[in-house]
Amino acid sequence: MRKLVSFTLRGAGYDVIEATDGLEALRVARTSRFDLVLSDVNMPGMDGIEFTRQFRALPTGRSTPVLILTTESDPAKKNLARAAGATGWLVKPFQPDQLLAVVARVLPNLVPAIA
Amino acid sequence: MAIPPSFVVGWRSLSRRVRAPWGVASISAWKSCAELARGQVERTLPALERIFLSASGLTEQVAEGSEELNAHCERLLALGEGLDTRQHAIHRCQDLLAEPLKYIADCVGQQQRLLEVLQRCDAGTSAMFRVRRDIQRALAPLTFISVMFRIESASLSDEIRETFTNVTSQIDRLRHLADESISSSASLLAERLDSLRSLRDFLQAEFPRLADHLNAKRAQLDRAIGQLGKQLGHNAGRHQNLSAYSACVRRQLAELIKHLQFQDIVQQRCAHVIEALNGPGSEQAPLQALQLRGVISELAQGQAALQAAVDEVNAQSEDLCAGGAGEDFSAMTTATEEVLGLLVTTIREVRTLMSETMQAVERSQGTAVALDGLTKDLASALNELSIDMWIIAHNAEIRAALDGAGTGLEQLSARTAGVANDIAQLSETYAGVLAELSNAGKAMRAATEAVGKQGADRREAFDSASAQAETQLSELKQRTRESYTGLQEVLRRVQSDLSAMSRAVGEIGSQCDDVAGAAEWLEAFARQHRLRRIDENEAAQLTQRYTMATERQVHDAVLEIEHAPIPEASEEVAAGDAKVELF
Repeated sequence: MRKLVSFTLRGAGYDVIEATDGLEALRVARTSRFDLVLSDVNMPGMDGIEFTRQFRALPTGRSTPVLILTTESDPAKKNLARAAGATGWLVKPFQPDQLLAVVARVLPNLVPAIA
Repeated sequence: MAIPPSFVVGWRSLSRRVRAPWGVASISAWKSCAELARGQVERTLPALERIFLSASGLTEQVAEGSEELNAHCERLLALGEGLDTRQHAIHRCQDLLAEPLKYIADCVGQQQRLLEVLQRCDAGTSAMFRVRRDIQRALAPLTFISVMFRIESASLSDEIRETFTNVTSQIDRLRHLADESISSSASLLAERLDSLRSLRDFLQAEFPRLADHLNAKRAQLDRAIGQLGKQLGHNAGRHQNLSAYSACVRRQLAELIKHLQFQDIVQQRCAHVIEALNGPGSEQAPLQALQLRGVISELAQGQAALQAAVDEVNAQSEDLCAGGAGEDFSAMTTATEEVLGLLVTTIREVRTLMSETMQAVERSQGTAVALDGLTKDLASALNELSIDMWIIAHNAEIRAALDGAGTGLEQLSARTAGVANDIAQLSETYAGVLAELSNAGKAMRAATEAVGKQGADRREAFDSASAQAETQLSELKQRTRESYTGLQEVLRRVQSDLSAMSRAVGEIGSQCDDVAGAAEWLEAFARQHRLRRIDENEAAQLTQRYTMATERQVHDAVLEIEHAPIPEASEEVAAGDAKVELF
């Protein structure tokens, strides 16, 4: 799934940094600033909701949009994600154009390299 | 599928505890069955993950390959249309060849004029041959007088004899001079006449040949332009093919990406089935069996959709590079190479043609220069001859006056004067011919010099420009070939990736069989233990797109834990497409 998301975004001209789970993502986020974070919910080590919560606590993560990409549509989970600081909720399976449209809505001022 | 005996034992041992109307199996029987089913599902998961990972990687490779393919095709189209250099090579060649071709055409046009001049030269030169004959005829009486005087002057005084000897020696010398001068001139004239005639023959043969070549080169350029026009006509179709290919690949890649995401869903559903099979409740068997049937159905659908997308990309790739109606890129490459090759050949041939034209002009020029020199020599020889003759006549006249009548000197004087007069007349007569010959030679010389200089300038400019143009055309040809070779390599790579993807997708089928095996265990178990069946509505909910929430709700409903209806949210997520919600 991570490869598919990464491939879709890179194909549209975005630079993508991948992390295998929430813990690795946090490690990367401590040293770098990103325009957008896309996270699954079910991940080994640390799930997406916990990652979002901890990411929001980082100085680099306060204003960065976080989109949760998941198979889940449980309202309770959604509420948890919203409470953790997620910006949006995207249910799989996605069409590449839909994913890009959501990213463009979240980042209206960011022009990808090959747009 | 055969039911393991332990299930039957389990069923019997717990049959008394069964609550009507549904049966309940023993814990041990359920555990055995669940373990078998779980083991089978657990084995499937890594295999599925491997398949989907491989398919994801291949999708990426196919996408990259398709982009490369697209780029090669775009480059080929640009090369074919001359967009790469802002002006098509043919039109640049036309510009380049315009001046040399015009020069050759001008030279060919001058051929008639030059031949007319040569005709005049020929006539003039032939006329000059008569000079020698006429002079010899004029000098003949003097020779006779000299002989006569030698015989008859024996009785005359020594002084007169000496005078006669002097005069006759002078006449002999003059005759000898005239003969020699006119003979050598005649020999030169004969040479010039030969070279003039040879030049005329050469030009008469050469210029029509040059004209034919010139027309052939123009026809070559026209043919190249015609080919370009045809190619540009086909390019509309090629652009359409390329757009269709790009749109199709984009669409099919989106399909691939969408369907590859079922791996997550299938994995999660399987994870839940495994979790449920770990639990003690055998009544979950029908639900988990149904979940596995859902997995099988999703895998089968995913496999079919992935295979269809792979097949479509493959078909489009093949169409792109080997389409019909001359609109494929192979035909285009061949046509572009042909046109570029034709242009290189045309440039080389025009260069040769120009050299040949210049050689013809040079040869004409050389002949004209030699002719001009010769007419000057002839005129001067005739003049000199006439003057010498007058001097002899005057000398004889003076001697006659001094020595008185009867010496014969007055006769010699009169005859010498007559000869001088004849030669003067001859000189006058041939002066017109010589002047005409000289003028013709000068005209020829002037024309060929001007044309020669013009040709030399143009040739220098053309040599430098044509060498550059040839290099550019060769580079274009090489780039066309490289792009096409690149296109073929990428196509082979894409097709190989698509084959690998097809194989990977094909493996989903065997995983379906494994999951089906697990489902059959559970179904057999449920049948044997008369566990509660799931009705059509419940089954329909479960076969909709899977979410954990839906599963839990259906699960609870099936187990009558909670009688709440299926929430509306499940309808939203059942739409199949991604649902986006921004907070």
